[in-house]
Amino acid sequence: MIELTLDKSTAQKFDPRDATFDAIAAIMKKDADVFILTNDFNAFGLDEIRKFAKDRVVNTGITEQNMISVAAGMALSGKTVFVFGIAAHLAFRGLEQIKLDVCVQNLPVIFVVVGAGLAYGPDGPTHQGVEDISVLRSLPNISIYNPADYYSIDFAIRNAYESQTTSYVRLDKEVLPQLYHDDNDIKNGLIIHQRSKVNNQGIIFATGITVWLALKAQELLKIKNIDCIVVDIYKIKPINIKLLKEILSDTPWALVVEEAIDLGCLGELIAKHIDGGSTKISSINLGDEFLLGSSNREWAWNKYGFNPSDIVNKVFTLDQNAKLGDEKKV
Amino acid sequence: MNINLLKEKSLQIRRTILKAALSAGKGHIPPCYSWTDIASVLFYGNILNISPNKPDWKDRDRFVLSKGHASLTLYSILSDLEYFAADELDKFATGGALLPGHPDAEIPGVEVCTGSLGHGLGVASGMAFASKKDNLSWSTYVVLGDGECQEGSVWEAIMFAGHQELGKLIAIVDRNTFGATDSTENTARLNPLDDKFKAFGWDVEEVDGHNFNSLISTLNQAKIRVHENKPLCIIANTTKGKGIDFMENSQYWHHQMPKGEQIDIAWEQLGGKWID
Repeated sequence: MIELTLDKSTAQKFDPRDATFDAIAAIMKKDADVFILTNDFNAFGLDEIRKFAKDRVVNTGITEQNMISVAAGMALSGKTVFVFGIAAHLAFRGLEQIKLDVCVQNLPVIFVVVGAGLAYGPDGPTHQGVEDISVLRSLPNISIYNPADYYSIDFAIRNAYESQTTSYVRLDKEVLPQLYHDDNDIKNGLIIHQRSKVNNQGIIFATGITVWLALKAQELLKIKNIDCIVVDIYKIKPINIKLLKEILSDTPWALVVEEAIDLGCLGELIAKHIDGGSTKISSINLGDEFLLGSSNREWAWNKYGFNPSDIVNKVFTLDQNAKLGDEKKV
Repeated sequence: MNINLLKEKSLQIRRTILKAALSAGKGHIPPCYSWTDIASVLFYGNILNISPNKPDWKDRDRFVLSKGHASLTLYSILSDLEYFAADELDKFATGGALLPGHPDAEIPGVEVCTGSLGHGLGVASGMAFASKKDNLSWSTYVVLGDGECQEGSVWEAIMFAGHQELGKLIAIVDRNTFGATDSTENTARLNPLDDKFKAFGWDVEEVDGHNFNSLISTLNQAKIRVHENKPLCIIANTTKGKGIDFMENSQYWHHQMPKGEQIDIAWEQLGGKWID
């Protein structure tokens, strides 16, 4: 596992679940119509909420399908409901309930799921959250957030609650330092980490934990005199198409780094919005296979080339190809 | 509405269902007919506390048709109660029409989107749970198919409602004994269904789903449940296709349309005639 602190080594680190329940607690103290349902899943922050709102934290037992249907019924009766569980289980066991009971009517049900990407990698395909984005992206109405730090988790929870529509907030399990400090940094859904003002910079797109890998790679590339932008795709759906197109308008290359399967991944999403054929695009993802055995991040990042040094190598190739393309044009 | 008028209303609703299904060449007539008498008592027998000119009235009783394929019964009643214009039924399941084969929540009077089986009881439980949390007066009624009770999600909901002691949740199981192609007892046995509900913490009443006296009495008892701490399941023993003899208790007719002479016979048995 790489050190995720980068040059922010003095930054305080936070458990994503604490960030989540700090935000939800603040909401629940103001709004008595907010409830949390969980399928027998727990967190320290959830117990803290129980101290002041015991009746509004409901453990429905290990019944994902019914829990989601109940959330829909409550939302239809004036409640805002946070549904807390593991990504792989809620998104797949409860998929039809998410689609028909919640999304069809765009109800204020906010799924808060732990286990984005390979957060539960060693636990096998039963627990890995590597297909949920591909599947849930296909559902109308749902908003999908994939925050990378405490502040953006807090923003996602607030934003989802204020929208009073169906939302899905993915959480990692890694304890992460704070990266953002202001709503203005992240309100556009795409967060641009720009090193310099030079033109025609390449872009590394990343989301969730891979943002940290991309930022590390950006530092390494800077040393090697390659300036590039890192874009944190913090809000995956609806993606800010206008800003995305703007970012992509004059870029020679784009690399998408995502702990997810290939089909339906963000690489496809980005490619769809590239106008013309001049931008070279490539992806680093988990391909089209199940990860059996114990696939912890260190192992998987080595296998699939997620390490910052791998990203740098991939960028070299992309950058070279883009320059060759330019020479051909000339 | 007195019992004779309720019976006449049921017959009228059956005729409306047949007309709409024949117009569209589509619909599940027998599953509609098995719960038509239950529906008549619920909507016209002063059971459901609803206000057709205010479909979203916040204190209304909630009604969920979980067996969404039997939508034409609900549509026929909502149309009759003027939730929407009567001519919408003439356009049932046609392109761009308000009324699809299975109900969705854009239809005035429809609370939730149903048709994929095993969802309605869970959503209804969520409604009843919210009502209980706020100590509100309204009740939640849900009609399930018995074949639907083979879905695992239904039993998750039954557990939840029993555990949460949702006394103002009334589930009516349309126990016509058939799924789509076979008897429930030949596929995944449900009996003893009453004991199963009881074991999950529910009160259970059993009723002849076509006997108006029994339905009126049982549903009125259910309506005045205020302080009970158990949800109520009413197992309504019904006949799939009730009212058209060649459709009754047949595994063939689930979503078949009568043709030729069958149409004349059906109209004759329903005391009406087909006007194209």
